[in-house]
Amino acid sequence: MNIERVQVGVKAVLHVAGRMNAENAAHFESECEACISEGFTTLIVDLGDLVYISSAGLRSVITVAKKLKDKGGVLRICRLTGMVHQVFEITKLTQVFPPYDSVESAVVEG
Amino acid sequence: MHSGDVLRIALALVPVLLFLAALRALDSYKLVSSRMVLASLGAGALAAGACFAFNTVIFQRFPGSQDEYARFGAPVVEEFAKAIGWIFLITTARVAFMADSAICGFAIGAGFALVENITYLHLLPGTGPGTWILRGLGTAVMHGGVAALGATLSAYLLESRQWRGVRLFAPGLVAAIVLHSLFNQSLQFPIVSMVAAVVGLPLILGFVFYFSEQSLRRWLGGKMDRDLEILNMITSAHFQQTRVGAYLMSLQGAFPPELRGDMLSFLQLTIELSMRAKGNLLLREAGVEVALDPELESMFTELTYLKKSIGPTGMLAIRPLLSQTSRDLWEMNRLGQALR
Repeated sequence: MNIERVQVGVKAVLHVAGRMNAENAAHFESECEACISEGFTTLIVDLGDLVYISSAGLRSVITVAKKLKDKGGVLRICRLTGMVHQVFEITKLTQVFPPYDSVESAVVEG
Repeated sequence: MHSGDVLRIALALVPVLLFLAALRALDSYKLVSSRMVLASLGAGALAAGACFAFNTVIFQRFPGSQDEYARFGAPVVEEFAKAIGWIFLITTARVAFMADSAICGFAIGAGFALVENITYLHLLPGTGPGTWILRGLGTAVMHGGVAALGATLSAYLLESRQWRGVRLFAPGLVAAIVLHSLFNQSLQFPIVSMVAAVVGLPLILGFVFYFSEQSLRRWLGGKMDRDLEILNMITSAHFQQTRVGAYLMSLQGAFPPELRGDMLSFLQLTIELSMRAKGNLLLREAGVEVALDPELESMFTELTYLKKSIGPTGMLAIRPLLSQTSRDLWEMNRLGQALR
Protein backbone atom coordinates (compact mmCIF):
# COMPACT_ATOMS: atom_id res chain seq x y z
CA MET A 1 0.00 0.00 0.00
CA ASN A 2 1.25 3.45 -0.90
CA ILE A 3 0.13 6.64 0.81
CA GLU A 4 0.84 10.14 -0.47
CA ARG A 5 -0.03 13.24 1.46
CA VAL A 6 -0.99 16.58 -0.10
CA GLN A 7 -2.00 19.71 1.76
CA VAL A 8 -4.92 21.72 0.33
CA GLY A 9 -5.41 24.85 2.45
CA VAL A 10 -6.11 23.71 5.99
CA LYS A 11 -7.06 20.22 4.84
CA ALA A 12 -4.89 17.17 4.35
CA VAL A 13 -5.55 14.85 1.43
CA LEU A 14 -4.24 11.30 1.63
CA HIS A 15 -4.08 9.35 -1.64
CA VAL A 16 -4.12 5.65 -0.77
CA ALA A 17 -3.22 3.09 -3.43
CA GLY A 18 -2.82 -0.69 -3.52
CA ARG A 19 -4.19 -3.08 -0.91
CA MET A 20 -5.10 -2.20 2.68
CA ASN A 21 -4.99 -5.33 4.83
CA ALA A 22 -4.05 -6.57 8.31
CA GLU A 23 -0.35 -6.14 7.56
CA ASN A 24 -0.42 -2.47 6.61
CA ALA A 25 -3.63 -0.99 8.05
CA ALA A 26 -1.60 0.31 11.01
CA HIS A 27 0.55 2.29 8.54
CA PHE A 28 -2.58 4.07 7.27
CA GLU A 29 -3.63 4.76 10.85
CA SER A 30 -0.23 6.21 11.79
CA GLU A 31 -0.21 8.47 8.71
CA CYS A 32 -3.63 9.81 9.70
CA GLU A 33 -2.54 10.23 13.32
CA ALA A 34 0.48 12.21 12.16
CA CYS A 35 -1.86 14.57 10.31
CA ILE A 36 -4.10 14.89 13.37
CA SER A 37 -1.14 15.63 15.65
CA GLU A 38 0.02 18.32 13.21
CA GLY A 39 -3.34 20.03 13.73
CA PHE A 40 -5.35 18.96 10.70
CA THR A 41 -9.00 18.50 11.61
CA THR A 42 -10.28 17.66 8.13
CA LEU A 43 -8.77 14.62 6.48
CA ILE A 44 -9.74 13.66 2.99
CA VAL A 45 -8.92 10.09 2.09
CA ASP A 46 -8.83 9.32 -1.61
CA LEU A 47 -9.40 5.59 -2.09
CA GLY A 48 -9.68 5.74 -5.88
CA ASP A 49 -6.57 3.63 -6.41
CA LEU A 50 -7.21 1.22 -3.57
CA VAL A 51 -8.06 -2.19 -5.02
CA TYR A 52 -8.63 -4.16 -1.81
CA ILE A 53 -9.66 -3.43 1.76
CA SER A 54 -9.99 -6.02 4.52
CA SER A 55 -11.69 -5.82 7.91
CA ALA A 56 -8.44 -4.49 9.41
CA GLY A 57 -8.54 -1.61 6.92
CA LEU A 58 -12.18 -0.84 7.72
CA ARG A 59 -11.36 -0.89 11.42
CA SER A 60 -8.54 1.63 10.86
CA VAL A 61 -10.81 3.95 8.85
CA ILE A 62 -13.44 3.85 11.61
CA THR A 63 -10.85 4.39 14.36
CA VAL A 64 -9.37 7.45 12.61
CA ALA A 65 -12.85 8.87 11.98
CA LYS A 66 -13.69 8.45 15.67
CA LYS A 67 -10.47 10.18 16.77
CA LEU A 68 -11.13 13.09 14.43
CA LYS A 69 -14.73 13.37 15.57
CA ASP A 70 -13.62 13.50 19.20
CA LYS A 71 -11.41 16.46 18.29
CA GLY A 72 -14.25 18.18 16.42
CA GLY A 73 -12.86 17.19 13.03
CA VAL A 74 -14.10 15.05 10.15
CA LEU A 75 -12.89 12.27 7.86
CA ARG A 76 -14.12 12.37 4.26
CA ILE A 77 -13.82 9.39 1.96
CA CYS A 78 -13.75 9.93 -1.76
CA ARG A 79 -13.53 8.05 -5.06
CA LEU A 80 -14.74 4.66 -3.88
CA THR A 81 -14.51 2.19 -6.73
CA GLY A 82 -14.83 -1.51 -7.48
CA MET A 83 -14.52 -3.97 -4.65
CA VAL A 84 -13.73 -1.27 -2.07
CA HIS A 85 -16.96 0.54 -2.98
CA GLN A 86 -18.85 -2.75 -2.71
CA VAL A 87 -17.45 -3.40 0.79
CA PHE A 88 -18.41 0.07 2.02
CA GLU A 89 -21.89 -0.34 0.51
CA ILE A 90 -22.53 -3.82 1.93
CA THR A 91 -21.32 -3.00 5.42
CA LYS A 92 -23.36 0.20 5.24
CA LEU A 93 -20.33 2.26 6.16
CA THR A 94 -21.43 4.61 3.35
CA GLN A 95 -24.11 5.79 5.80
CA VAL A 96 -21.40 6.80 8.26
CA PHE A 97 -18.99 8.08 5.60
CA PRO A 98 -21.07 9.45 2.71
CA PRO A 99 -18.63 9.01 -0.19
CA TYR A 100 -17.55 11.91 -2.40
CA ASP A 101 -17.14 11.43 -6.14
CA SER A 102 -13.92 13.43 -6.34
CA VAL A 103 -11.21 14.91 -4.16
CA GLU A 104 -12.29 18.38 -5.28
CA SER A 105 -15.89 17.93 -4.08
CA ALA A 106 -14.62 16.66 -0.71
CA VAL A 107 -12.25 19.63 -0.37
CA VAL A 108 -14.84 22.22 -1.37
CA GLU A 109 -17.48 21.11 1.14
CA GLY A 110 -17.35 22.89 4.50
CA MET B 1 -44.59 -2.74 51.78
CA HIS B 2 -43.04 -0.69 54.64
CA SER B 3 -40.21 1.77 54.05
CA GLY B 4 -37.94 -0.55 56.07
CA ASP B 5 -38.71 -3.39 53.67
CA VAL B 6 -37.92 -1.15 50.70
CA LEU B 7 -34.56 -0.27 52.29
CA ARG B 8 -33.79 -3.97 52.90
CA ILE B 9 -34.65 -4.91 49.33
CA ALA B 10 -32.58 -1.99 48.04
CA LEU B 11 -29.59 -3.06 50.14
CA ALA B 12 -29.95 -6.60 48.86
CA LEU B 13 -30.31 -5.65 45.22
CA VAL B 14 -28.34 -2.48 44.52
CA PRO B 15 -24.92 -4.23 44.56
CA VAL B 16 -25.95 -6.95 42.11
CA LEU B 17 -27.60 -4.44 39.76
CA LEU B 18 -24.52 -2.19 39.91
CA PHE B 19 -22.40 -5.21 39.12
CA LEU B 20 -24.63 -6.00 36.13
CA ALA B 21 -24.40 -2.40 34.90
CA ALA B 22 -20.60 -2.54 35.23
CA LEU B 23 -20.47 -5.74 33.14
CA ARG B 24 -22.54 -4.09 30.41
CA ALA B 25 -20.26 -1.05 30.47
CA LEU B 26 -17.23 -3.33 30.00
CA ASP B 27 -18.75 -4.80 26.85
CA SER B 28 -17.32 -2.46 24.21
CA TYR B 29 -19.13 -4.22 21.33
CA LYS B 30 -22.53 -3.76 23.04
CA LEU B 31 -23.37 -7.39 22.39
CA VAL B 32 -26.36 -7.53 24.72
CA SER B 33 -29.45 -5.36 24.25
CA SER B 34 -31.44 -3.97 27.21
CA ARG B 35 -34.32 -6.20 26.14
CA MET B 36 -32.15 -9.28 26.42
CA VAL B 37 -30.99 -8.22 29.90
CA LEU B 38 -34.60 -7.73 31.02
CA ALA B 39 -35.61 -11.09 29.56
CA SER B 40 -32.71 -12.74 31.40
CA LEU B 41 -33.72 -11.06 34.67
CA GLY B 42 -37.25 -12.39 34.08
CA ALA B 43 -35.98 -15.92 33.39
CA GLY B 44 -34.02 -15.81 36.65
CA ALA B 45 -37.07 -14.59 38.55
CA LEU B 46 -39.16 -17.44 37.13
CA ALA B 47 -36.46 -19.94 38.07
CA ALA B 48 -36.45 -18.59 41.63
CA GLY B 49 -40.24 -18.93 41.85
CA ALA B 50 -40.06 -22.55 40.71
CA CYS B 51 -37.22 -23.31 43.15
CA PHE B 52 -39.07 -21.68 46.04
CA ALA B 53 -42.05 -23.97 45.42
CA PHE B 54 -39.82 -27.05 45.09
CA ASN B 55 -37.69 -26.23 48.14
CA THR B 56 -40.79 -25.59 50.25
CA VAL B 57 -42.05 -29.10 49.47
CA ILE B 58 -38.64 -30.61 50.34
CA PHE B 59 -38.47 -28.69 53.64
CA GLN B 60 -41.97 -29.87 54.58
CA ARG B 61 -41.22 -33.51 53.76
CA PHE B 62 -37.77 -33.63 55.35
CA PRO B 63 -37.84 -31.06 58.17
CA GLY B 64 -34.81 -32.64 59.88
CA SER B 65 -32.49 -32.29 56.89
CA GLN B 66 -32.86 -28.59 56.13
CA ASP B 67 -29.23 -27.76 56.82
CA GLU B 68 -27.85 -30.58 54.61
CA TYR B 69 -30.33 -29.70 51.89
CA ALA B 70 -29.28 -26.04 51.96
CA ARG B 71 -25.63 -27.02 51.60
CA PHE B 72 -25.88 -29.81 49.03
CA GLY B 73 -29.39 -30.13 47.58
CA ALA B 74 -30.47 -26.53 46.98
CA PRO B 75 -27.37 -25.61 44.92
CA VAL B 76 -28.15 -28.48 42.51
CA VAL B 77 -31.81 -27.55 42.13
CA GLU B 78 -31.21 -23.81 41.86
CA GLU B 79 -28.33 -24.01 39.40
CA PHE B 80 -30.31 -26.41 37.21
CA ALA B 81 -33.22 -23.95 37.22
CA LYS B 82 -30.97 -21.00 36.34
CA ALA B 83 -29.13 -23.05 33.72
CA ILE B 84 -32.36 -23.57 31.74
CA GLY B 85 -32.19 -19.84 30.92
CA TRP B 86 -28.54 -19.62 29.87
CA ILE B 87 -28.57 -22.96 28.04
CA PHE B 88 -31.57 -21.73 26.05
CA LEU B 89 -29.73 -18.53 25.12
CA ILE B 90 -26.64 -20.44 23.95
CA THR B 91 -28.45 -23.19 22.04
CA THR B 92 -30.64 -20.69 20.19
CA ALA B 93 -27.53 -18.57 19.34
CA ARG B 94 -28.91 -15.54 21.19
CA VAL B 95 -25.51 -15.33 22.83
CA ALA B 96 -22.32 -16.60 21.19
CA PHE B 97 -19.36 -15.09 23.02
CA MET B 98 -18.00 -15.36 26.53
CA ALA B 99 -18.80 -11.72 27.31
CA ASP B 100 -22.48 -11.79 26.33
CA SER B 101 -22.89 -15.20 28.01
CA ALA B 102 -21.43 -13.71 31.20
CA ILE B 103 -23.77 -10.70 31.10
CA CYS B 104 -26.91 -12.78 30.45
CA GLY B 105 -25.85 -15.44 32.97
CA PHE B 106 -25.28 -12.76 35.58
CA ALA B 107 -28.66 -11.16 34.79
CA ILE B 108 -30.39 -14.53 35.25
CA GLY B 109 -28.71 -14.85 38.66
CA ALA B 110 -29.68 -11.28 39.55
CA GLY B 111 -33.33 -11.99 38.67
CA PHE B 112 -33.14 -15.11 40.81
CA ALA B 113 -31.72 -13.10 43.74
CA LEU B 114 -34.47 -10.48 43.39
CA VAL B 115 -37.28 -13.01 43.92
CA GLU B 116 -35.30 -14.93 46.55
CA ASN B 117 -34.74 -11.75 48.58
CA ILE B 118 -38.42 -10.80 48.37
CA THR B 119 -39.36 -14.22 49.76
CA TYR B 120 -36.73 -13.85 52.50
CA LEU B 121 -38.22 -10.49 53.39
CA HIS B 122 -41.32 -12.38 54.53
CA LEU B 123 -39.38 -15.26 56.09
CA LEU B 124 -36.96 -13.01 58.03
CA PRO B 125 -39.06 -10.08 59.24
CA GLY B 126 -37.38 -7.48 61.41
CA THR B 127 -33.80 -8.34 60.46
CA GLY B 128 -31.33 -5.47 60.47
CA PRO B 129 -29.60 -3.83 57.50
CA GLY B 130 -26.41 -5.84 58.13
CA THR B 131 -28.15 -9.05 57.07
CA TRP B 132 -29.38 -7.43 53.88
CA ILE B 133 -26.01 -5.92 53.03
CA LEU B 134 -24.56 -9.43 53.38
CA ARG B 135 -27.35 -10.86 51.26
CA GLY B 136 -26.80 -8.14 48.65
CA LEU B 137 -23.03 -8.30 48.45
CA GLY B 138 -22.77 -12.01 49.17
CA THR B 139 -25.72 -14.16 48.14
CA ALA B 140 -27.03 -12.01 45.30
CA VAL B 141 -23.58 -11.52 43.74
CA MET B 142 -22.93 -15.26 44.19
CA HIS B 143 -26.19 -16.13 42.35
CA GLY B 144 -25.24 -13.87 39.46
CA GLY B 145 -21.59 -14.85 39.49
CA VAL B 146 -21.91 -18.63 39.41
CA ALA B 147 -24.55 -18.50 36.66
CA ALA B 148 -22.27 -16.15 34.70
CA LEU B 149 -19.33 -18.53 35.10
CA GLY B 150 -21.43 -21.54 34.08
CA ALA B 151 -22.63 -19.77 30.93
CA THR B 152 -19.16 -18.45 30.14
CA LEU B 153 -17.54 -21.85 30.46
CA SER B 154 -20.15 -23.32 28.09
CA ALA B 155 -19.62 -20.48 25.59
CA TYR B 156 -15.88 -21.12 25.75
CA LEU B 157 -16.36 -24.86 25.08
CA LEU B 158 -18.73 -24.04 22.22
CA GLU B 159 -16.11 -21.75 20.74
CA SER B 160 -13.35 -24.35 21.09
CA ARG B 161 -15.57 -26.78 19.13
CA GLN B 162 -14.17 -29.72 21.07
CA TRP B 163 -17.41 -30.39 22.90
CA ARG B 164 -20.78 -30.98 21.31
CA GLY B 165 -24.35 -31.79 22.36
CA VAL B 166 -25.65 -31.82 25.92
CA ARG B 167 -22.23 -32.53 27.45
CA LEU B 168 -21.11 -29.08 26.26
CA PHE B 169 -23.08 -27.63 29.19
CA ALA B 170 -22.07 -30.17 31.84
CA PRO B 171 -18.76 -28.57 32.98
CA GLY B 172 -20.37 -25.12 33.34
CA LEU B 173 -23.32 -26.49 35.25
CA VAL B 174 -21.12 -28.60 37.54
CA ALA B 175 -18.83 -25.61 38.20
CA ALA B 176 -21.86 -23.46 39.11
CA ILE B 177 -23.22 -26.14 41.45
CA VAL B 178 -19.86 -26.70 43.17
CA LEU B 179 -19.19 -22.98 43.70
CA HIS B 180 -22.75 -22.42 44.96
CA SER B 181 -22.41 -25.36 47.32
CA LEU B 182 -19.02 -24.10 48.58
CA PHE B 183 -20.60 -20.71 49.25
CA ASN B 184 -23.41 -22.37 51.21
CA GLN B 185 -20.93 -24.40 53.32
CA SER B 186 -19.77 -21.19 54.96
CA LEU B 187 -23.18 -19.76 55.75
CA GLN B 188 -22.04 -19.53 59.39
CA PHE B 189 -19.27 -17.19 58.22
CA PRO B 190 -21.17 -14.92 55.84
CA ILE B 191 -18.49 -12.22 55.78
CA VAL B 192 -15.93 -14.72 54.42
CA SER B 193 -18.37 -15.75 51.67
CA MET B 194 -19.17 -12.14 50.88
CA VAL B 195 -15.50 -11.15 50.59
CA ALA B 196 -14.81 -14.19 48.38
CA ALA B 197 -17.70 -13.26 46.08
CA VAL B 198 -16.98 -9.54 45.93
CA VAL B 199 -13.21 -9.88 45.41
CA GLY B 200 -13.00 -13.10 43.40
CA LEU B 201 -15.77 -12.54 40.93
CA PRO B 202 -14.66 -9.22 39.43
CA LEU B 203 -11.19 -10.69 38.91
CA ILE B 204 -12.51 -13.76 37.11
CA LEU B 205 -15.01 -11.80 35.02
CA GLY B 206 -12.33 -9.24 34.17
CA PHE B 207 -10.24 -12.04 32.61
CA VAL B 208 -13.34 -13.41 30.86
CA PHE B 209 -14.05 -10.05 29.23
CA TYR B 210 -10.45 -9.57 28.20
CA PHE B 211 -10.25 -12.98 26.47
CA SER B 212 -13.73 -12.64 25.00
CA GLU B 213 -12.88 -9.33 23.32
CA GLN B 214 -9.64 -10.77 21.94
CA SER B 215 -11.52 -13.75 20.55
CA LEU B 216 -14.30 -11.59 19.09
CA ARG B 217 -11.75 -9.32 17.41
CA ARG B 218 -10.01 -12.35 15.81
CA TRP B 219 -13.30 -13.85 14.67
CA LEU B 220 -14.55 -10.54 13.30
CA GLY B 221 -11.44 -9.99 11.20
CA GLY B 222 -11.04 -13.56 9.97
CA LYS B 223 -14.68 -14.18 9.12
CA MET B 224 -15.20 -10.85 7.42
CA ASP B 225 -12.22 -11.49 5.18
CA ARG B 226 -13.59 -14.94 4.28
CA ASP B 227 -17.00 -13.39 3.52
CA LEU B 228 -15.28 -10.90 1.25
CA GLU B 229 -13.42 -13.67 -0.53
CA ILE B 230 -16.64 -15.58 -1.30
CA LEU B 231 -18.42 -12.39 -2.34
CA ASN B 232 -15.58 -11.65 -4.74
CA MET B 233 -16.01 -15.13 -6.22
CA ILE B 234 -19.77 -14.64 -6.65
CA THR B 235 -19.39 -11.27 -8.37
CA SER B 236 -16.33 -12.30 -10.39
CA ALA B 237 -16.50 -12.33 -14.20
CA HIS B 238 -14.94 -15.81 -14.03
CA PHE B 239 -17.46 -17.09 -11.51
CA GLN B 240 -17.65 -20.59 -13.00
CA GLN B 241 -13.93 -21.09 -12.46
CA THR B 242 -14.13 -20.19 -8.78
CA ARG B 243 -14.59 -22.72 -5.97
CA VAL B 244 -18.19 -21.59 -5.37
CA GLY B 245 -19.04 -21.54 -9.07
CA ALA B 246 -17.58 -24.99 -9.66
CA TYR B 247 -19.57 -26.41 -6.75
CA LEU B 248 -22.87 -24.92 -7.96
CA MET B 249 -22.16 -26.21 -11.48
CA SER B 250 -21.67 -29.67 -10.02
CA LEU B 251 -25.29 -29.56 -8.82
CA GLN B 252 -26.50 -29.16 -12.41
CA GLY B 253 -27.96 -32.64 -12.71
CA ALA B 254 -29.72 -32.57 -9.35
CA PHE B 255 -31.42 -29.18 -9.35
CA PRO B 256 -33.12 -27.11 -12.10
CA PRO B 257 -31.43 -23.85 -13.22
CA GLU B 258 -33.90 -21.53 -11.44
CA LEU B 259 -33.26 -23.33 -8.15
CA ARG B 260 -29.50 -23.04 -8.60
CA GLY B 261 -30.06 -19.34 -9.25
CA ASP B 262 -31.93 -19.09 -5.95
CA MET B 263 -29.08 -20.93 -4.22
CA LEU B 264 -26.60 -18.38 -5.52
CA SER B 265 -28.87 -15.49 -4.45
CA PHE B 266 -29.29 -17.07 -1.01
CA LEU B 267 -25.54 -17.37 -0.62
CA GLN B 268 -24.92 -13.80 -1.71
CA LEU B 269 -27.67 -12.40 0.55
CA THR B 270 -26.41 -14.40 3.55
CA ILE B 271 -22.91 -13.05 3.05
CA GLU B 272 -24.14 -9.50 2.59
CA LEU B 273 -26.12 -9.72 5.83
CA SER B 274 -23.16 -11.28 7.59
CA MET B 275 -20.88 -8.44 6.44
CA ARG B 276 -23.45 -5.87 7.45
CA ALA B 277 -23.59 -7.36 10.96
CA LYS B 278 -19.81 -7.19 11.18
CA GLY B 279 -19.80 -3.59 9.92
CA ASN B 280 -22.17 -2.78 12.80
CA LEU B 281 -19.82 -4.49 15.26
CA LEU B 282 -16.84 -2.50 13.96
CA LEU B 283 -18.78 0.72 14.40
CA ARG B 284 -19.88 -0.22 17.91
CA GLU B 285 -16.32 -1.15 18.80
CA ALA B 286 -15.32 2.42 17.90
CA GLY B 287 -18.26 3.81 19.88
CA VAL B 288 -20.17 4.98 16.79
CA GLU B 289 -23.97 4.80 17.02
CA VAL B 290 -25.46 2.36 14.48
CA ALA B 291 -28.59 3.63 12.74
CA LEU B 292 -31.49 1.27 11.94
CA ASP B 293 -31.19 0.08 8.35
CA PRO B 294 -34.55 0.32 6.50
CA GLU B 295 -33.35 -2.20 3.88
CA LEU B 296 -32.96 -4.99 6.42
CA GLU B 297 -36.61 -6.00 6.57
CA SER B 298 -36.86 -6.64 2.84
CA MET B 299 -33.55 -8.52 2.90
CA PHE B 300 -34.82 -10.87 5.61
CA THR B 301 -38.12 -11.32 3.75
CA GLU B 302 -36.17 -12.23 0.61
CA LEU B 303 -33.99 -14.63 2.60
CA THR B 304 -37.08 -16.41 3.95
CA TYR B 305 -38.56 -16.61 0.45
CA LEU B 306 -35.34 -18.04 -1.02
CA LYS B 307 -35.02 -20.60 1.79
CA LYS B 308 -38.57 -21.79 1.13
CA SER B 309 -37.98 -21.91 -2.61
CA ILE B 310 -34.74 -23.87 -2.28
CA GLY B 311 -36.34 -26.37 0.11
CA PRO B 312 -34.68 -28.64 2.70
CA THR B 313 -32.81 -30.80 0.13
CA GLY B 314 -31.43 -27.77 -1.67
CA MET B 315 -30.39 -26.21 1.64
CA LEU B 316 -28.51 -29.42 2.48
CA ALA B 317 -26.78 -29.25 -0.89
CA ILE B 318 -25.48 -25.71 -0.36
CA ARG B 319 -24.49 -26.31 3.26
CA PRO B 320 -20.79 -26.74 2.36
CA LEU B 321 -20.82 -23.18 1.03
CA LEU B 322 -22.55 -21.68 4.06
CA SER B 323 -20.83 -21.01 7.33
CA GLN B 324 -23.40 -21.90 9.99
CA THR B 325 -21.52 -21.77 13.28
CA SER B 326 -23.30 -20.48 16.37
CA ARG B 327 -21.68 -17.09 15.76
CA ASP B 328 -22.99 -16.92 12.21
CA LEU B 329 -26.48 -17.66 13.49
CA TRP B 330 -25.94 -15.17 16.31
CA GLU B 331 -25.12 -12.32 13.95
CA MET B 332 -28.30 -13.02 11.95
CA ASN B 333 -30.30 -13.03 15.21
CA ARG B 334 -28.69 -9.76 16.19
CA LEU B 335 -29.60 -8.09 12.90
CA GLY B 336 -33.12 -9.51 13.07
CA GLN B 337 -33.51 -8.15 16.63
CA ALA B 338 -33.02 -4.62 15.33
CA LEU B 339 -36.22 -5.02 13.30
CA ARG B 340 -38.36 -6.11 16.21
